[in-house]
Amino acid sequence: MTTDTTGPAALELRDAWGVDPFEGRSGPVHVTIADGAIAAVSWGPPPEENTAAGAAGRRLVVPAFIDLDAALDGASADDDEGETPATLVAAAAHGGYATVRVRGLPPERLAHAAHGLPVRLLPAPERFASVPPAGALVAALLRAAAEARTVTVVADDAALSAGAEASSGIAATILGLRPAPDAAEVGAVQRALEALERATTIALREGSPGAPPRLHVTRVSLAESVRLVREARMAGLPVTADACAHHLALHDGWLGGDTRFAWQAVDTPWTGPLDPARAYLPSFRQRPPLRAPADALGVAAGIEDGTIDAIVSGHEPWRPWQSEVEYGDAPAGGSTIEAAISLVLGAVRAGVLSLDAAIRALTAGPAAVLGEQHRGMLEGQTAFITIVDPGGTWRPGAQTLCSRSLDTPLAGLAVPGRVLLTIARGRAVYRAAESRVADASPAGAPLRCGT
Amino acid sequence: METVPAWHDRHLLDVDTLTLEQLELIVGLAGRMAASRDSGEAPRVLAGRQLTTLFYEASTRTRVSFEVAAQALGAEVVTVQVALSSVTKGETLVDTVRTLEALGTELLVMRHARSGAAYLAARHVTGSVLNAGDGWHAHPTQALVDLYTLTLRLPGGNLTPSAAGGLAPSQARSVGGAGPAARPGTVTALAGRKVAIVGDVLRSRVARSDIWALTACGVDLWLCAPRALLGGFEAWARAVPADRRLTVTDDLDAALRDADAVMALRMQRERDAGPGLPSPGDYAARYALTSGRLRAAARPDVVVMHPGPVNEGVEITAEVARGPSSAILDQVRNGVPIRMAVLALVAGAPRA
Repeated sequence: MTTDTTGPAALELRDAWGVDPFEGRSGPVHVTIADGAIAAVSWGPPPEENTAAGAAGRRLVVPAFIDLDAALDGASADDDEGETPATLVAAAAHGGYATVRVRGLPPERLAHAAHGLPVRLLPAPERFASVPPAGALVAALLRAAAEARTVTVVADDAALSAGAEASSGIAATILGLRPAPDAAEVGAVQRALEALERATTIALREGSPGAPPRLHVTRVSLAESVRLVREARMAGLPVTADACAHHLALHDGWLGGDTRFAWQAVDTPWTGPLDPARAYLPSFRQRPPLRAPADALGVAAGIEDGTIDAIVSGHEPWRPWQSEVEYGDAPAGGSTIEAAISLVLGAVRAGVLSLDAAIRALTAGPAAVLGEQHRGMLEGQTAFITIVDPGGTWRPGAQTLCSRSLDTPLAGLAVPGRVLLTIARGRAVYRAAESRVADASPAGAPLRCGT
Repeated sequence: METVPAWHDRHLLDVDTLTLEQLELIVGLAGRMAASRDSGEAPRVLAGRQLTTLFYEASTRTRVSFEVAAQALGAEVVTVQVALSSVTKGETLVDTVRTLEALGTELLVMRHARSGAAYLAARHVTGSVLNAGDGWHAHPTQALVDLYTLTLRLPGGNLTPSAAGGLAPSQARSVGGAGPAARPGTVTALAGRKVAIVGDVLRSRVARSDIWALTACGVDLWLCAPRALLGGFEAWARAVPADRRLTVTDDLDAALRDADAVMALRMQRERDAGPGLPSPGDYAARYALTSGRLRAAARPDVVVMHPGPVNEGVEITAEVARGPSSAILDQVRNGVPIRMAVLALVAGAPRA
């Protein structure tokens, strides 16, 4: 329950399970951090039994996470209710993140606010919030390539998804919610990939110097979308993709009150009746909407095989007065950055996602999309480390969230995986109240958040 | 009249969670309410209690019958005219219901354009919320009226219509019931009866609540609409548990074939759902309930229903709507005893 920026981290972590996607290693590990840098890393031989069993019971030590998509409300004045860069940093740190790419604030304002904050806040690039007409996208891809930039497109055709409240399917039918056709996302992904192919052909034909056109598709949520991206990657197109943690773990049955994770519901999707205490909670409204359980498993398969490079939080913190409204009027998004790791570890625990792929999608995958070169947990490196207790549980809510927004779909539910310690730039930026980590870092002023 | 049975839920948000036994209890209580009203001895179980109707969407039948029912039970009835309220100044639903509760409302009857609105209200009041319709989602009292009407009108029920069409004058006078001597049949007698709901099911909260209530009683329920209005109902029909019978089709003849009862739904012009929808004329040509279609397919003693208001000439002809098969006015009349029953039940349920 402390966030500490007053001194460099120092700790000794023995008999943990390490996953380092940057260096391509995982297994039993001892880590020593001194004066904010990794002083010693000692990997043991991987156990003969499978890695899931080997990892069980050990604390998890991994590179601190990178989030490609969180948002702040740039239009608001600073009030006591809205998320600020500082509270976003606290929330991110609680979620195990050391780097967050943030939409909603102009770059200069973000840079000014982020100055001195212990978690790195990066400005988000311009993106197409809806797939544009082919000609415009091809032109944008070619222009961006000349500047070595990637074009980001949201996997959505707003003309088809406008007014939709839920994913088309049994849940939307039972709940009487306006359905979003799958074509809104699948068609958008298809058209974006076709534009990339066209731009690639043009660039080759014209012998353009410099980088080839590159596309990043954000907010993939349907199995069919994953399939299209996979095919494009196999054909050699330079496309990357991300998906929200809640599209990995949750499903449209949640809108009616189901609290099973997607992998628990895939053979018996929700068919009512409604749970009046949970039905239509605005925190379930996401963009894209929560999908059928089978689609969540498609997202998991996409993360596993690398089709989906990054898991994003989609953190979009609303004030109570903004979200305590009728479902059809509620804004999409919510307070999701602190429990993203819990949803991911839930998938790992259920066997639908390997730990290595999960951690890659939170670290090396997003780093590659950012175009950043990172080293992993190596002696001499400044410490960017997250330590998690995979066997722990916690309940997101007013007492445990660092974000000013309590608008989380997981409110009050016990979720797996508890972040014990987050170190960014060599300093502890989040420490759980009972971390059981032999942590000799200087204590800072406690913030009343986290577990 | 004997005392009102104990009830578990201070809200009535939908009928989806109600068992066969609970539906039987409501129908039975409604019958006793109708009888007691006819004999001038309606139990004043809401004496001293304030009931407020809060309708964000238009209504004649539902709102008026709730108000009549509440007054029959002795409640003080307050009607909020939403168009003249601070809703027009942007006051939120949550603030509105909390304000009404602060002004003494214990029973809030609400209708709203958004699915789930009643659930939001229920989470913010300590009193009762009765859902009079939330968007496309639910209309629980209408489904209960439909159930009650079926138990009365289907063979095995205790009321048959007069030969002269509509109801005989003596029956028309006993507003709120089927006549002094009539009692509803049991809902279990509906098991195996074929009921077809024809029309704009996609946007129909009546259809959704009817699905829950009627299939719980073993009705062989058919939904029929143009393909563009069937939405995800085919998937729902494939997923219902084995003890419920739901068939979805765009073939009107198949839906009407040997039906015991047919319900027409209004084409919802004011509730937008998107492209690909038939015009009223197209719809009428292919799906209107006409005497000819009913004669050709349904049982001779088929009961015809409609939740109202009726677009004569679109989903149903005037001839059928006003003819001897029609139970439409029965449904209207039955709205009062059903609403008396649910009000009495929720008013006696444990508070927050």
